[in-house]
Amino acid sequence: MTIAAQSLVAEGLVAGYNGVPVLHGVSFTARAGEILTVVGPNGSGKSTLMKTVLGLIRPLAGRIRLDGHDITALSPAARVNAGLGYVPQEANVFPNMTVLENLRLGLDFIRRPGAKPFAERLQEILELFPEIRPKLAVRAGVLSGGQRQMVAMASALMADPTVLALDEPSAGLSPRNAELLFGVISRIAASGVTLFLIEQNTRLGLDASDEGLVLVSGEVRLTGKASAILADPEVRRLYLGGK
Amino acid sequence: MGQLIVNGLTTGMILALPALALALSFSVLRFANYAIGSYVTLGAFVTWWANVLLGLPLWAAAGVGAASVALSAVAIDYLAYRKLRERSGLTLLVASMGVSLALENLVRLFAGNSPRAFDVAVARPHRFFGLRLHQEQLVILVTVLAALTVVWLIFRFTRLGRAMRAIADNPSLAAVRGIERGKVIAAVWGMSGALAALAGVLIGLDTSLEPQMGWNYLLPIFTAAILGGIASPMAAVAGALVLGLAEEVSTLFLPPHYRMIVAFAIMAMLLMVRPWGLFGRKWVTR
Repeated sequence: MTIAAQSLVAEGLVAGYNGVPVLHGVSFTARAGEILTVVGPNGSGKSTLMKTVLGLIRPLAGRIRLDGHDITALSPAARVNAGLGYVPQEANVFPNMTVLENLRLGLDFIRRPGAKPFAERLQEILELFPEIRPKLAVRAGVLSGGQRQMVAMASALMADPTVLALDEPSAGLSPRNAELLFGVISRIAASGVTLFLIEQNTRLGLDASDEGLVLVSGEVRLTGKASAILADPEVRRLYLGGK
Repeated sequence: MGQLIVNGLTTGMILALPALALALSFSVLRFANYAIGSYVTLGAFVTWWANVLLGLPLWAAAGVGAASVALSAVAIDYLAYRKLRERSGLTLLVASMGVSLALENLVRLFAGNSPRAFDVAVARPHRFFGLRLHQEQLVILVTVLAALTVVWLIFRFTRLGRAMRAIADNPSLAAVRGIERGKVIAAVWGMSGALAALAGVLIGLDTSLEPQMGWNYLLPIFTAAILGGIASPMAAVAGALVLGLAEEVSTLFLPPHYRMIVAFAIMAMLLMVRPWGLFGRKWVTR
């Protein structure tokens, strides 16, 4: 496998708060166009891992590579410009701005070489998310949770990122809306974008993913094909109620 | 009654600019800049200096005044407020009181305490449908409408405007979208300073220039901004017009020197009942 096929790579990440590590040598590889989902119990370090990948926390040790380039020392904004898109769990749209303005802001301040003009990129995004076309003039704050999540993802994708990081995308959604959302996530992956997810809903997250990673107490307990992790008896016992 | 409405709208128009300036900085920085009154004073006196001492026509002198206060506001933010950015709004409010005192006394130091006036020709009032409209009122109307149009266009149709609204709406998401907060804050202070300075010029045209002129307008400015919605800049303009009309109409029932009580009563009532204003978005949590 070439380096280029590895979109997002973490090697031996040690990170935490005030010098106290929460992550103890976490490594993973997310390949181009695949979905990698991180699952684990509360307090396992999932959010710390996401913050470290985004550059909100500087790791004490280890490296992060995006498309083969070392981004460990880059600021969050520089990581966005390098091709790392992000959709936060909550407050992920500008509620008092229209959907179209939200999409504009996805591209307005991105300085990526070879970035497409707004109109061209908008058409591509609307083909990927036909559901939001009729909502372009609507204020994002009045949309339903599922629609808002879609606008948030569409807005992050406006910058044409290599990797899209999603923080608990199904949080607060009804089971039906969560399933619909993961359908959209699969569509995004099919378009060539790599997805890096932190997810509470273990079954839903792993079901829709190519690769999975089980994080427990800041260490990688299990990693590999998502289907194999779902079939693992310990994972089924601990996170899926033994089903 | 018609004349009262004209006068009330004129007062409202004058208040609209600093109320907009106050709401602009509040919406992005979430702190009430008490020094807004001293920006009004500074703008008026720099304009007076360019108009009377340098002999520039008033419109050009107003440009000098607006540019000077815009730059001063950016510099004051850099020197005084920037390091307090992560502190509470109350800390910043107190800091802005200090800035206000310093600026007002700076004006007194250079210009003295005597009232002054701009060097403009005296014109007869115009009459429309039985209403008397002074030349100054026409200038105020045109200037305020032009300034509001420019601000609205910036807000609606430019990247800077979208960035300002994005930071006001969701600052953490704005950072994730690559918006550089520092540059947007500088632009906000620049616009806020220029608007306050223009208001100072209009107040000077309407009445006279005194070092405490901004202080005198502070309560109506805050009331207008709160009335409209202090976190919603364009709503603050509507608040200013409502307050101007309310103050003027109150003179039918109260002696004119009690007009200030109207502003104070409106502000006190709104803060208790509807702190996000008549036209603003609900942002306050109890």
